[in-house]
Amino acid sequence: MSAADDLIRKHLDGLATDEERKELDRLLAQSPEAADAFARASRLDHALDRHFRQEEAITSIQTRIHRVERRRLIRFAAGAAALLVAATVAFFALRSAPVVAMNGTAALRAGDTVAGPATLTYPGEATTLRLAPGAELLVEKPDPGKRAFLKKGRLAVEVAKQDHPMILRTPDAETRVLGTRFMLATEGGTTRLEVTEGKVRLAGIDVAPGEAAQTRRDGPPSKRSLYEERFLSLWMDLHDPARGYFSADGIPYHSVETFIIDAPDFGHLTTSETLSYWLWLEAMNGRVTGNWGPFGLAWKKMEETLIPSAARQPTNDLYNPAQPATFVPEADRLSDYPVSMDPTVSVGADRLFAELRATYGTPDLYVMHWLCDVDDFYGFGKREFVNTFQRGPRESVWKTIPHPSTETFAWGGPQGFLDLFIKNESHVKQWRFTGAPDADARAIQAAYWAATWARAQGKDPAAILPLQQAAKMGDALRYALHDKYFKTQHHLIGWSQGWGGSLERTNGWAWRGGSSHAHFGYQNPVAAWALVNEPLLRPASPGAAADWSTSLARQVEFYRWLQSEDGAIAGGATASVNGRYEAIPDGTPTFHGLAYVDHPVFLDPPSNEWFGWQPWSMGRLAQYAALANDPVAREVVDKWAAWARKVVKLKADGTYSVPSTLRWSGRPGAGLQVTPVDETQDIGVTAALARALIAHGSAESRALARELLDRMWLQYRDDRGVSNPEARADYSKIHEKVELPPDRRGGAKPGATFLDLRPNYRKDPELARVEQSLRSGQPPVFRYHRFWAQVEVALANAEFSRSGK
Amino acid sequence: MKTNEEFLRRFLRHQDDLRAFLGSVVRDRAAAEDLFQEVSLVLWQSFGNYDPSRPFGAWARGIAVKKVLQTREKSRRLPLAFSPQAIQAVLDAYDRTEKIAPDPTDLRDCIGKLPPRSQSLLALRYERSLKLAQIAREVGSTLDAVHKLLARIRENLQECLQRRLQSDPE
Repeated sequence: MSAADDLIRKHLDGLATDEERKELDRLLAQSPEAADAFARASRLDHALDRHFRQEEAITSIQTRIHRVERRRLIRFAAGAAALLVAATVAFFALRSAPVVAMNGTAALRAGDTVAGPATLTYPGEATTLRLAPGAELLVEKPDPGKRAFLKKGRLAVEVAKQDHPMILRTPDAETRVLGTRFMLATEGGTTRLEVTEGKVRLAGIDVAPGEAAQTRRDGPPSKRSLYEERFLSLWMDLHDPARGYFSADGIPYHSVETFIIDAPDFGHLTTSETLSYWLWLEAMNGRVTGNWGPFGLAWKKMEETLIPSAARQPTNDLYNPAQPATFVPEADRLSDYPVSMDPTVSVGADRLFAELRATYGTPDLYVMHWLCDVDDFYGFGKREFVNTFQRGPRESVWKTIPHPSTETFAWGGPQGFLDLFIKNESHVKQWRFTGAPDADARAIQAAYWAATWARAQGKDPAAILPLQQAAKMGDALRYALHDKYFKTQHHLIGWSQGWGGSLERTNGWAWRGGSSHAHFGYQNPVAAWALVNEPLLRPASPGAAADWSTSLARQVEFYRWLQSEDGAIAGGATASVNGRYEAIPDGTPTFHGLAYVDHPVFLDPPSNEWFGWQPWSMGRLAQYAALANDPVAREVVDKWAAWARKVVKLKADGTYSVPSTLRWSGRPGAGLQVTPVDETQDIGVTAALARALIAHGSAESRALARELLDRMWLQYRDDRGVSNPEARADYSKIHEKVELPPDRRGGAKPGATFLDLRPNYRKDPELARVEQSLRSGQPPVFRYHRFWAQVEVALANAEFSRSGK
Repeated sequence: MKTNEEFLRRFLRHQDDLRAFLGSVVRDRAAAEDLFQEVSLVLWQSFGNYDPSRPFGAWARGIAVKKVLQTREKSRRLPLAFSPQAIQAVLDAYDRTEKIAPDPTDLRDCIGKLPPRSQSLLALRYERSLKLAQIAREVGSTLDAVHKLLARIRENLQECLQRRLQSDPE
């Protein structure tokens, strides 16, 4: 290689130093041979670039000219407009080829490139190619079968029976098909094929239904289970920083998207639910890959993020377990808040405190607070513990008032936010935390499976997993088995558990509480079973085994009591009617002294309307039934699964639906019935349903689960995860007033709306789109990637492959 | 309308070569792309002055060079790789060697004949646009070795393209 050649190469590879570039400059100016060599080399360089990027001249010119037109519109209005007309006319003049396929109503001819998202159809047959966002497909000339070239991205394919093989190429491979359903994706120089139905040939290898294959540079494609492959590909997406599931400091967000109003009312908050799902994901990853490191890391991050440190719960030692808290009634209307404390109502004694303190040598509690403001959206600080719901059953998310869990009076009014909830002239600075016990139970359940799977791999679970911590969490979670004011121990997993205290030690105090309300959706018999039966998860306190074994039996009985004639499970029960210990109305069925409630805890919207509770909770009961071989649980699950299979719809066009909202009538033992009233394609709920059906395990349930998983994947897999369009008509409520006391001083003022209380939403680029949609009378449509929903999909696929073996 | 069609026909055939030229003298990819778009518009606007007896590519490059130098005069920020003299020399070289510009079909065939390891190296460099240092890390080699290997691969490709050009009856 001559000196000039070497300099040219260095220049093109971006390696030339300034000195070398000067030398090249001199050579080019002086030597025509060097300049010719440069022209040849740079042409080849560019041609290689084009080849590997697979851009087509015809689309290139179209997009370039359009882009030129857009950019220059202002400065060269006349010329540009003429250019556009000319380009369009000439473009069509150049292409008189026959129509090959359709992109919606637009005709596609050989040579056309289509960018996703798009759905291509072939006239006269049920063949569709669904291009994911970001994907590019070149429609090719039929020869004699259909042909297309996937340049990049992901493509879901359903091919009707063909006379000639349809050929789909990617930059590194070719598939031939005669009639099947599959997914084809190409990225980073390799191609992945996932076959759902029929047989597909990839690069000379036959890939069967239920198999996935990936091309390799140095040999034939590698194959593995399709469902396990899906798990791994989602795991990769969830951990890829570019997809946006985690904060810069490694905390998973509620969702990738920021503009989302669920129970957490902003996407980049995190919840104990999110963290518990992360643990589940890593437990399954350990099973699939044998790598248990991520589970330990996730547990550590969960601790750091959501379990208050000793400094954050500083006055627990001032707690008097004989007088756990002063009674605060719940009010039926928002306008009744703030409410007054009522010291005349007697409360029970906390018998857990002394035992836990003796076992662990600390009065602090090891459970999660439910909500954390990862990026300081509310303005109380980065990674602060925050809370929203405080005002009884009528407080929808739209009416909540975000506030810091540690109340230093730095925000809000002179008494911080405390005076919005409880009337008291002498509020003092204080801390208080609220657990959502289903999340802690889910974390324990995940730890149980991690231990089981690690052991099955011949590993020592105690040495590689944070099981002592999980057991400790199970100990502290026993507060959730108590009534809010310890008037009874119902042994069901209650809606919440709370603890708090003054920040000052002088005249200091602390309080604790369980929950009077039990929702069937929160029960977790697997966690209860594991805390009793898995030696490595047995809590160290002497009373824990009895508590959790009573809880286990009580939970199973609860499901049976709440099972409707149809098979679905009704709401729950309460130890405190209306949150005020009112007398149980005549004729109300009772369960161990608790009154039946069709919608426990919250009424806007009614809490058991959401179909998602059914698969969430029943998936656990099904797991438990199999683990413990419990005939009662088995019977309840069989009946439920038969109902669930009936309410799912598999449609002829390859789509599906599951119920969205349930309506209830009757009561336990008296014509308890359910009616699904509308339907959804919701990713998280559908995946949870598939998981529950897999856990149920009958051939029918498994077949339906598989259909749901396949359909969801083919319809909704995108470049971040799995996501379906979601119309949010409820977002019109961002402008509704949050009810606030008229005499409110400082902080949130009367007349403030949901948006006013979250001013940072005004900086969210999505707000303009939402407002625009609302003005035009159309609900805004989102494609969300909720962390928990992605994990549900990943787990369901992995569990399908696991249980199929 | 005939003119529009004429323009598009020629432009289509030469746009790639024009981008190769601009890409070789402007150091930043995005800046080269911006310039390409500006030049495309100027070409369209000046097409009335184009003499069809002259080669379109040379005409287009001539305009491109003017645009490059004008832009550079207006803004020192345009990251030009070379002096105006060297750029003029490259322009002349592009004109001289236009007939032997690589044909995409030939290139595809030639790439297909390379050993798989070479193909994957090219993919890392061009498809994933990795820097050489990143490639070296990915394949577990040194920067210098990757640079030399890529140089050899390109040489092989040049030879292969050359052979195809010579065996082509046209």
